[in-house]
Amino acid sequence: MNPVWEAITILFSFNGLLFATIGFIIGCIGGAMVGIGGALTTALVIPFTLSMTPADAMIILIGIYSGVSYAGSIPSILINTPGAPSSAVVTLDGYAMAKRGEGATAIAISATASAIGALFGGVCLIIALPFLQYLAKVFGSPEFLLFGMFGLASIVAASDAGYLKGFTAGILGALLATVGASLLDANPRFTFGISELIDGIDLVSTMIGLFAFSEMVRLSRNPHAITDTLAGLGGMWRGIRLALAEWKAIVRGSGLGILVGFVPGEGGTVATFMSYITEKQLAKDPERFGKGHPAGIAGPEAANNSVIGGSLVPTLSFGIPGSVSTALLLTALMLHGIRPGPNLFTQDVVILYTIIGSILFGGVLTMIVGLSLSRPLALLTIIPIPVLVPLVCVISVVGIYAASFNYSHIYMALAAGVLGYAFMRLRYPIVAFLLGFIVGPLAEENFMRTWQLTQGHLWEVLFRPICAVLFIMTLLVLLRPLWKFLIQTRLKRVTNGHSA
Amino acid sequence: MNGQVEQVHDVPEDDESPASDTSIGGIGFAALVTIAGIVFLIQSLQIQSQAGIWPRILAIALVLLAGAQTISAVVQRLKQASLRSFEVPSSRRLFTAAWLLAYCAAAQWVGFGVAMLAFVPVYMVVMGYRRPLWILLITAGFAVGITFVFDTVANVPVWSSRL
Repeated sequence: MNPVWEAITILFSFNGLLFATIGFIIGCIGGAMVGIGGALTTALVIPFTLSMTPADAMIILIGIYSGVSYAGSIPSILINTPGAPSSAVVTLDGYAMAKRGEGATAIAISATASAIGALFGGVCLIIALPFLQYLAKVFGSPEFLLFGMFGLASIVAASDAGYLKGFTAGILGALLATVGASLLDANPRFTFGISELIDGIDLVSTMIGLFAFSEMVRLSRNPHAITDTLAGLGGMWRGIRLALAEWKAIVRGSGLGILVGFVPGEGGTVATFMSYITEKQLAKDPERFGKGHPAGIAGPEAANNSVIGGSLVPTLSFGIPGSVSTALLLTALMLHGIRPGPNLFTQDVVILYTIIGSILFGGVLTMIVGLSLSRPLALLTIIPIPVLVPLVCVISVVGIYAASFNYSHIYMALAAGVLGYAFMRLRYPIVAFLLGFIVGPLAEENFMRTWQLTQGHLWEVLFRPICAVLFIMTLLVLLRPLWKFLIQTRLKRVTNGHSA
Repeated sequence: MNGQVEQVHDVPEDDESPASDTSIGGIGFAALVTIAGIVFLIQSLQIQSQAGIWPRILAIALVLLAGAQTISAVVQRLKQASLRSFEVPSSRRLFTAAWLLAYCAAAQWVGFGVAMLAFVPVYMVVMGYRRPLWILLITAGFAVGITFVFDTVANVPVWSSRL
């Protein structure tokens, strides 16, 4: 059967539609609950997907991704508290509308723009597919190794934690990934006599520890619910009409989201802020921004959702995740025995089309399910923290056990939770750690192949054109503080010149 | 120098904001990572095959980076102040961490379900949730929920002891 047709059959089967809807609803719940967020929701669900087929697992996880991207804006709009960092900018105009009693109108603008943005992102991925297929094939071990370095450098440069902390986190992740049987000779490394470590540090328990346990300990400080009151709602249909009237903002936001999504590390947060600034600069009435301008919601929301398609480009073609969410999707793919890269375009092409189809379907679900769930989702923000924390902890613990039936993994998760909490409190970027941990084994494999290829003279890879380009890109990314400084100095000079 | 002494707080007053790199926690964590890097480096030097090359490179990089972080934090701290306070995380957070650990230890012997029947309501009460009927309903409803999702659907022995 044609792989495209096969993917459509899977997606539109009873199971496919059911899993997509369940995933989307779970994503909406996680996204709408401040403090839970997309990463934690995905991490909690991954253990359940291990008994599913890879295609069904991807359908449910992409559904979660779509749901989180949409629903993160609901608390932003209704209680001025973003469900995710990428939804922060929506608070400016969304909450202003909610205060006027137009919460539902703002949610409808958000849902419409999110749906169109997600569709744009999915279509972009389809268009990019032949090019990616070619690119993935011309990438050899040295290119993969350098792209991994570029990915880590981009993520570290994009975080505000500083290079020392960023690279420390990334390298610590890669080093911990070497624990267990070696890829080269299967001899155990760094097990310190603990037999449970021979299989390595479990990915699922690490993920849940890093995100769930550390977050629950952090949240437990708050004895109340996130909010006690909700702002007024208003008309849904009016919101859809207002969003469609701002079609130019949606198109611009989608384009920005796709472009930003391509670059590892530059996730939805950067895209939404860029879109907001662009819309404000292009608007005829910029003074209305921050007071409930529809374009201030439509543009950033389209950008936030089109990032999904864009960020999957480096994830699927090179196995380099651009954000925590895509890192978790990559984890799920690898747990199902699917390795991103050239093989995905030849051996697992049905999965690839299922992922793309799920993104497009996520856009449809945003409009249909997302809009109808907006009111009950808003109520989730009033669940008291003392109720939420023990329930999430129990689900996490049983979920880890369900994934492997190995109790030692629960203790691994507790250790990862301590590490995650330290990272959170001391501002070490968790995404850099996760990137190092996930990509570490792949990087080691490619490093050893490159080592053998060049007989230890690693600098010889710089004579390969793609490697040279990637190396220069890595340097440019690492020089980001210098670029920022130069641009700011130039801007100051221009401003001073005008005022003089 | 004006003779004034700036006080360094290890945990800022707003507990939600990140702790300073120059705090005891910040320095301690960086030092711990450096020590971990040294341990990995020593272990990797004992691997005679090519399997030791990659971890060796990573361990050296980790020691250099985390070491630099530790040294710069210590130097900054010495420059900043002589009066220091040390605050431990809030009691609510410590209780959450300790209670979670107790749950994990207990669940291994009595099963996830039985341990949960104590873990969830006690946590809610200790954390200040004062609605007995809701505590009962939430615990019972959650027990039914995890039994259905894990025991029935995913075949995880939620109520079996000695996992």
